Amino acid sequence: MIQVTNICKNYGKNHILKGASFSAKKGEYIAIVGANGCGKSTLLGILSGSKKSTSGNILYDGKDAMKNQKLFSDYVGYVPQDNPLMDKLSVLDNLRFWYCESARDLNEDLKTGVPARFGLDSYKNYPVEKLSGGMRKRLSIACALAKNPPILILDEPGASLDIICKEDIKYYLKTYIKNGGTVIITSHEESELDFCTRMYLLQNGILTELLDKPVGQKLIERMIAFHG
Amino acid sequence: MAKYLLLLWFQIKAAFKSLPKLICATLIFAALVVLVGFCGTKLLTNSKSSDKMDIAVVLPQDGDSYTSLAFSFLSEIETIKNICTFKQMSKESAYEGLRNGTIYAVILVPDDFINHIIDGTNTPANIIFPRSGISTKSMLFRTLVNSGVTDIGAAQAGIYAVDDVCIDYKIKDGVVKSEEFLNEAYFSYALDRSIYFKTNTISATGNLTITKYYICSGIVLLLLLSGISCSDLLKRENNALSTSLKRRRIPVFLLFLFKIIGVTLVFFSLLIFAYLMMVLAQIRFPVIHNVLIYLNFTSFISLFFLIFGVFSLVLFIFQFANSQSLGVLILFTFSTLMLFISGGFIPSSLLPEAVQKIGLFLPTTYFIKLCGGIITNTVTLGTFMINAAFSALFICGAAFSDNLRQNRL
Repeated sequence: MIQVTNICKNYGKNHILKGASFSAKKGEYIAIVGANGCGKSTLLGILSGSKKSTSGNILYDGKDAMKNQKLFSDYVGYVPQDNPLMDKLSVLDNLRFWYCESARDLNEDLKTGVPARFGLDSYKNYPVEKLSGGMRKRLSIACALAKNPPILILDEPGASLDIICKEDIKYYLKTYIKNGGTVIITSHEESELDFCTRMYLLQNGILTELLDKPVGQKLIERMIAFHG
Repeated sequence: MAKYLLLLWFQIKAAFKSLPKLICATLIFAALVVLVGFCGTKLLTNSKSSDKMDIAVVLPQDGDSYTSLAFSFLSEIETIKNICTFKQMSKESAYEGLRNGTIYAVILVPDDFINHIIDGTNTPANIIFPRSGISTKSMLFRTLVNSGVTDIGAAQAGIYAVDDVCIDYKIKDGVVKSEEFLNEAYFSYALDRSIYFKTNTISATGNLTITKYYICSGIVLLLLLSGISCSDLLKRENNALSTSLKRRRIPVFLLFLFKIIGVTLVFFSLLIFAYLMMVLAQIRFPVIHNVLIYLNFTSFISLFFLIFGVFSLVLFIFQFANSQSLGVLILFTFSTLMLFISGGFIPSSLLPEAVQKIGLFLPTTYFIKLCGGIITNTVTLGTFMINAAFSALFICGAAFSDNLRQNRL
């Protein structure tokens, strides 16, 4: 499904990523953990096509995304840390904008699709600037999934959200992978990590798989050990 | 294509959604601008430079009525009346006025002045100027007097020469007839004062009246300040939205272009609405007809591009600034400063030469020029192109700044 090989990223003399490699199949939930500023968002940015890597390869279903940038938007739905929404517009207008290139029918989805699943149909005429943080995040996910991509990349989706919202998103992500989708997520939240199929630690630019998928105190100890 | 059109439509929609807020803010700024404009107009129209010069005329104590009559006639001639005021006063008061600077010059008229002109004695009148600090006005008056005296001298020489010829050749009635003819000829020449003055209007405000000039700088200042109320629409987008647009292959300059079009349409509609209201109001209040400026199609188009140009600058400032509040601060400071250097508050011809030269490189100079062209229906292609070039520069600059920021993250 996705094959990432030797991704490097340099900002001047700073080597943020030093040959990150991994792969993911359909239905997998890949968690990437690491300290703040270690390059998790940069890696997700490269995987989603919004940042360019210094070197390395990304294959989606065997097709080289570095040579065909369109593959990124066809294969990946990306939810950055901040919400990529137009604040002055309504929920419906934001959805319209992301659905305009999609084969999916927005009106139908507002009844039965992801927007309906997240309860956005009741808020469709609300301006985004008046929505709560949780609803904005739900809307961001709905927008990212407008083209029904097989891979969903989320950058710390649960950050500063309440428990109900986190659970709601977690529940949806489970449904998404059950339906054959692939999720790549960065998070510090235990609840978002405990059901991952594989876990990677990004430290000092190096991506290492944590085979025992530690969470909570164990993960902290592991990170300290790596740091030491 | 659909995504571009939709993005454009949404930017226009977002701008119009802010209409009530923009109207309120614009009205507040308009009040401020009108106040500044009123003060500026007062400053220019009431400046001392527009005062007439006072000339003291000292007539002989037992002066004849012809002399008084001649001076009152002289002081009523249009071109003299516009420049100086003749004040009949005593010798002592005149000298006192000359000393304390209230009088520009003193004319001391000798006894039998007019009779001496008639009989050919020609006792000259003495004109006294202050010993020091001779102003431009005093010099102007001296030039006026000199040219008048030269005319009289030439006329006298001409009349006496013909008289002599008639007497020498014993031409019967020659003296009377030739004097009648020459008097008429010289008077018609001398009384037509426009011969002496070649009209060459030099104005600090160019070809605009002071009121029109301040209307122009007022409109530009109003638009620039309105940028503050549009800060929500023109501020930096969060990185997430920029990144997402980039993923959808929507160039950031297109987003900026659409944002500016949205805001421009709002202000263009507001101005057109206000203009149409005035056109309609003149039916009820005919006095509006005298102040209303009728715009042609080119001026309407130029108005759109003027607003577009101003908001391109505003967007550039907001993209350049790190935060919305810093953007507001920079916008306010820079727009005031740039408008001052461009001669928006005091006409640039009255500013130091170095400031005038800097002004040539500022967009506000060309915004004022374009605005002047709009309200006089004389927009030139050159001014239009310079404004378009500035707009393009600002949009590209903003896109470049955004790109730099994205690459740094």
